[in-house]
Amino acid sequence: MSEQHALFDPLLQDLSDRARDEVLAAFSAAQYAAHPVAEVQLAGLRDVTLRRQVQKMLKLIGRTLVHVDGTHWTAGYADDIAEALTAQGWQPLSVVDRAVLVLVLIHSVAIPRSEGILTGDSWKSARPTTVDELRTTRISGEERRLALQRLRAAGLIQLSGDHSGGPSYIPGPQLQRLTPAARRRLQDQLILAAAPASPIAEAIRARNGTATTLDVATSTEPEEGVA
Amino acid sequence: MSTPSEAVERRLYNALWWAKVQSAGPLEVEPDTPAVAGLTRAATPDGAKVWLVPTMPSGAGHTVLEELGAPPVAVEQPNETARVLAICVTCCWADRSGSAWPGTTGTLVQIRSVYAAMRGRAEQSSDLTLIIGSLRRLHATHWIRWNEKAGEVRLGPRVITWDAGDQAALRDLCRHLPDPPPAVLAEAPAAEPEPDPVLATEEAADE
Repeated sequence: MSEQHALFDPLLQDLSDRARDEVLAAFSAAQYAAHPVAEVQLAGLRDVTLRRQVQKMLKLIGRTLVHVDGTHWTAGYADDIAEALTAQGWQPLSVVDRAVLVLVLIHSVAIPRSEGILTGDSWKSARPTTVDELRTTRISGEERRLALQRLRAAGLIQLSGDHSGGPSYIPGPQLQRLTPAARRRLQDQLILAAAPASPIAEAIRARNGTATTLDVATSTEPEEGVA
Repeated sequence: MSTPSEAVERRLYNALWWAKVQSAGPLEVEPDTPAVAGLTRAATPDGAKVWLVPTMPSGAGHTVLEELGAPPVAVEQPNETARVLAICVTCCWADRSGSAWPGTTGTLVQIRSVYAAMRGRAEQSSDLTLIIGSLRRLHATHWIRWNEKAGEVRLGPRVITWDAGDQAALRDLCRHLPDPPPAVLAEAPAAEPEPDPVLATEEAADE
């Protein structure tokens, strides 16, 4: 679209043509690329002044830059916006989709992390969750199959390369869009759900100043499906 | 002139709506919902609601990704899905002298007919599985509105963002596609029930 853009033009009009192009390229890459993009690849990410403009553009639409592995950038929901939408009860994922996603996160990330196999606070993992591990009496096979397709289409899970025991899944690239605070909230919620009586759960409740709440982990915030 | 606090409030209002359309796709809202900067509005075909669809300034958006070699989240069965979208455009954009939105209601019968003619052969049993899978994917991403029960399709709110250049290219594409047979609708279009507009189900029929 070549006409005026009511939201971004006030920010962009003060930039030189070249700076505008660099900022828009970096903004688009952070927003729409499936995976985080390398800082060295784009002047709009490399140059601190230009990157500040990218961050300002993202802020206008409720997003923020997320640094990944110290070398890459992506965009995710800003913490204040996620909090406000959660408070409004905003939740674009169905309860079945959230349940299946949580099962993948438990088997691919939470369990390996508790065993010390995975370190750090990333929700990226190569440990596949098998279809057997996703079986539960609460969700029918057909419901699970459709949920897996939707989660895959949204980039929240992906097929693992390991096909030895039939299809298996790992967390998708969208999980890398979580901000540090969102990653911690997700971890806290999983602990509260899995081990509500543990000392660590008690510590989380004390830190949050909350009573016992056993929300499902992903009810913390909406996940992005780049629509 | 707005006061500083009004400006802050307005920015938060815009940011929250933008976060909603990014997490759930284009949204159908009441017509009296105040405007959101950067979200274009288009009345639904029955005029009862308004779609909010995000727009980008020129030089931003998915088109940039190709130059960067940084692909977006992959679409499953991309070729079939694109083919079925083209067929839906042909079936639902009857008056091509005007804009594609809101278009008219097309049917599964029309889509199957154009699909087979496009392939230059009689319909095969596997065609329907591919077509339905593509229709569900396109519905989930708001390119079309697919009413599976009635077997009817309309163009989705994302076509609102097609500009004159896009529409000229699509007119040309439609001229090269086989003509659909006349649509035979199950009932009056006014009675058409809209499926859940917020989180439409993507139920791809592929394995």
